[in-house]
Amino acid sequence: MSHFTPAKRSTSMRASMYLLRLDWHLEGVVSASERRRILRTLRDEIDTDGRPVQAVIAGLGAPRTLAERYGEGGWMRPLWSIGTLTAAAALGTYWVVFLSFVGGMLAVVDSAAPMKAEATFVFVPVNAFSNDQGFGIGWSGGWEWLVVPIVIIAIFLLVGARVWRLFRRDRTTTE
Amino acid sequence: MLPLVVLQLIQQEESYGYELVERLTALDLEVSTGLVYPVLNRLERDSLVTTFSRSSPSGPPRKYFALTDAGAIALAVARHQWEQTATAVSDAIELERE
Repeated sequence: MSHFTPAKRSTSMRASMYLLRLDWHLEGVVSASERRRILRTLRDEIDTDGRPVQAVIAGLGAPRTLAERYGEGGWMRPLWSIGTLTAAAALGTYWVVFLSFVGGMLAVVDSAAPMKAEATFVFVPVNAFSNDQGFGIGWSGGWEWLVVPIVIIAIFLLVGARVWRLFRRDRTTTE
Repeated sequence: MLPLVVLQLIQQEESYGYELVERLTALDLEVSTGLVYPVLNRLERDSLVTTFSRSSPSGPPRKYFALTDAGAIALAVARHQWEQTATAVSDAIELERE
């Protein structure tokens, strides 16, 4: 029946959005397998509940509160999604600072052309040149080029996944 | 207290999640699905209840909860503890009245 389809799609979307938010909050309080089980069960409960989806979701309460109830008695786990975002932000910042540094070098050598300069930025050798034939920047393709970003990603992934606990308004006890 | 009452109701009659909420509400307990579902999840995780699917006349099959042997033992222990506590509290109140 054509008149029923849009309402059903809207209902599913509302429930999906709620479960997405719950998933986010559950990540820090239950294991991945437990989280999947909870979400599957809740999706089934929502689908089989005869009431309007707004009423069903209102009964479940705020996703954060519901997640805390599911995690009651457990310990606070790393939030890898926040860790990934933190690592991505740190890597982006590293790249911006790196390119600013190299761009600054290029501006200096270009203003005093013909000139060539070499420097090191966080273990990575970089160089810039400017002469009658043109100007350019470059950096080494050695191990530093690969290791430095990996170290940055690893540190901020591990720190970001755990530091979120400090910013919780209600810090639950850990075991 | 809520797990004890939930186990008791499931022992009386196998129910699905929202039906349990309605039965608890009928006992004048202010509960919601957001309170009861996490309790059911813990009871299932601890193997105190088991689940099975039963067809529904008004939609897809529903997930029903039934007591396991371990659940029946846990309920008996919890009821004994509750009765002891309730007796102790009643005695204390009676002493204050005298």
